Amino acid sequence: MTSQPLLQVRELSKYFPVTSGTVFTHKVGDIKAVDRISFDLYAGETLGLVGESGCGKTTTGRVMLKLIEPSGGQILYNGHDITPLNKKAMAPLRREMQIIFQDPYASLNPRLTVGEAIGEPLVAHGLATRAQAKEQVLALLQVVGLAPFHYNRYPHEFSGGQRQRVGIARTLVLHPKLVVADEPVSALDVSIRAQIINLLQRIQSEFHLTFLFISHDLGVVRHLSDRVVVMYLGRLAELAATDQLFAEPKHPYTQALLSAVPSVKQRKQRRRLVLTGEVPTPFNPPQGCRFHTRCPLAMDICHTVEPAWHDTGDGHFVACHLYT
Amino acid sequence: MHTTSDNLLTICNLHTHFYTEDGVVKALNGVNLEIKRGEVLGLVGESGSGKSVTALSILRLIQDPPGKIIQGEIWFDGDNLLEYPIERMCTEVRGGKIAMIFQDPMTSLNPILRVGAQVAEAIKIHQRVGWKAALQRAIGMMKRVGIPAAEMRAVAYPHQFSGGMKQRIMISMGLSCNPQLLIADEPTTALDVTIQAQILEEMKQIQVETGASILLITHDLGVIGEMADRVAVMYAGNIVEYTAADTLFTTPKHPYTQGLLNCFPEATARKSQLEPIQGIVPNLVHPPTGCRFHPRCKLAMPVCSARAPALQEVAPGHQVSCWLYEDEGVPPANLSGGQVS
Repeated sequence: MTSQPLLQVRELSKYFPVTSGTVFTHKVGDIKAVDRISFDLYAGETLGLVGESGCGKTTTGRVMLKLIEPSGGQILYNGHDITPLNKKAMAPLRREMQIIFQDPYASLNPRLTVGEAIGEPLVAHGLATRAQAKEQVLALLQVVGLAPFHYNRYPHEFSGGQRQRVGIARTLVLHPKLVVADEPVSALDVSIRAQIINLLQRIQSEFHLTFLFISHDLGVVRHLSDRVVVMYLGRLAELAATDQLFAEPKHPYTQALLSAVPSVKQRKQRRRLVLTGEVPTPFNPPQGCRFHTRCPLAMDICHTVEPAWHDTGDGHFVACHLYT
Repeated sequence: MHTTSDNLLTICNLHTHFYTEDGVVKALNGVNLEIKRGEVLGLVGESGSGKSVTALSILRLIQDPPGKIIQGEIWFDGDNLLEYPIERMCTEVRGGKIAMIFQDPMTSLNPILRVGAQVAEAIKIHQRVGWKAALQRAIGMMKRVGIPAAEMRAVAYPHQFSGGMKQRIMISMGLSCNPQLLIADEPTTALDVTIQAQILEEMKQIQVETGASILLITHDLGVIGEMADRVAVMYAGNIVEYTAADTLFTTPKHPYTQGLLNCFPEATARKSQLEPIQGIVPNLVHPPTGCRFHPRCKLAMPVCSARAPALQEVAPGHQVSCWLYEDEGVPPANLSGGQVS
C-alpha cells in the first residue's frame, strides 16, 4: 500500500430536501443523509464502510463518485478538486471510478446479453466498437470465472452469484482505479458469498484497485478491509486500521455494533452490550452528539455539543467526547 | 410409539413435492426431525434447501396446487398432524399450539388494521374470550416483547412502526396464545444487527419464561450459535447433519457443514482466500443421484453418486448422513432408511 491518498473527502454533505403541500409546495427541511464527513482513501487499500441501514453508507458511496451532486464540501481526486466539474469534464474520470451494486438482479438490463452488458461501457466511452469490445469481454469473462459461451446468454439465465460476477466484469472492463462496492455480497448465499469474496480479493491485486467496500456485514468487512470507517446517522463515528478497530473500538457505538454481531466463534462467552432504542430519523437528528440518545455512556456535554472528528493517534479517528 | 415424552414434534420421512411447469420439484426428500420440549432447534441451510418448506409442511400451509405433502408423518404431542382435518388445523393448531413468525415483518401485517386488533384477533379465536379481554391481553403481550407505551401504540397502524417494532408485533402475535412450539422463519434477517441483538435477547428470555420449543430457521450460523441448543443442517431437501450446537461448531462431520463453516470470514485469517464450496445448489427437478451433495463434495467417492446415505448416529446425539462415516455408526432405531433418490 502506498501512502498517497487517491481520494480525499472534506466536509462532504448531501442533504435531500423534504417538501410539503401538493399545490404550493414548500421546503420544510432537509434529510441530512451525509453530513460533513471527512476521510482519505489511499491508493491500493480497501476501506470498509459500515453502519446500520439508513445511516448514509450508500449515499456516501454515490456522492463520492459524484453520481449525485454533493450539497457541500469537497472531493479531491489525485489532489484535484473534482467537486465543481460538470458532467462533460467528469467523463474521462468516470472511467477510473466504478461502482458494483448490491442487487445483481436489478442492476443488469434484461434485454442485453451478458456480453453486450459488459462491453457497453467501452462503447459508451468511445473506446471500442461492439466488435472490438467482444475480445476484451471474452477475456474478462475468464477473469471473473465465467465461460466464453456465457457471452450470448441473457441475465435471467444466470444465478445470483453469476450475475454478481457479470456486474464485477462490467466494472473491470474500463480498468478503473477506484471501485465503490456497495453491499456486493449481501444478496448472496453463504457458499456463493465466499466465492465472490475470493474473486474481489483476486481482482484487487490483479487490477491494482482501490476499494470502498460498503457493507453492514462486519465479518465480511473485517476480512476484506485494511481500514474500517463506522458511520452513524450521516456522521462518521470512528475510523481505524481493521485490527485496531476490532480489538480496541473507542466509540461506544462501534463497541455496541461489534458486540451485537452473532458470532460463530465466541459462542455464549461474552457479555453483550445491547443498545436500547432505535436509530433516530435523519430528518430531525438529535442535538449534540447524534448517538447520545442511545449511548450508555452519555454525559451532559453530549446533549449540546457535537464532538469533533479528530485523530487520537496512529490514524485512529473518533468523534466522541470521551476522547477529547 | 412415535413420540417419546420429551419429544414435542417428530417428523418422519417427510416428502413434499411441487408440481411446476418445469417438472416435479422434490423440495423435501425424506426429512426426519425431532424437536424436544423446551429446546431451541436451529434449522440451517442455504436458500432452496427446504428450510421454509419444512416449516410450512408442519403447519400444512403448503399451497396445493402446486405443492403436496406426498409421504411422511408429523407427530405433534401424540397426534399425526397430517391426519387432522383441515378445520382442526385452523382452529386448534395454527396460531394456537403452533405459532409461526415470518421473515418479512413488512409484508406479513395487514396494513389497514390497527396492530392491537391484529394481535387480539388470534387471542379471540383461540382462547374464546371477548373482544375487550382479547385486546387487553394483546396489549399485555406487546408490553412483554418490549414495545414502549403499548396502550397507545396498539391503535397505530403497521406503517407507523419501524422494522424492529413490526417484528416485535409479529412475535407478540405468535406468543399470544401460549404456543407449545414457535416456528421462527428467519426472524431477524431483515433487521439491522443492533435491532437483531435486541430481538434475539427478547426471544431467548420469553423462551425461558414460557418453556415453549422454538424451531429457528436461519441461514446465519452466527444466529444459530447465539440461540440454538441443537442444530439440523439441511441441504437440497435432506437433513445432512443433526447435533448439539456446540458440537456443530467444534467437530462438524458432514463435508457440507464443514464447507459452510469455512465460508465464514471470521473463521479464517484476514485477507486470506476463503475455501468456498464449489458450484451451486442443485436443481431439485433433476437432483443428483445418490447423495445430493456429491457433485460439490471434495471427498466424494464412487458410492456417493450411486446410493443415498442414511442419517446415522456417529456419536451420542450426533447424526450425519454421509458415506464417510458408514463404518462408525449404526442407523438410529426409529429413523432408519427414509431417504430415496
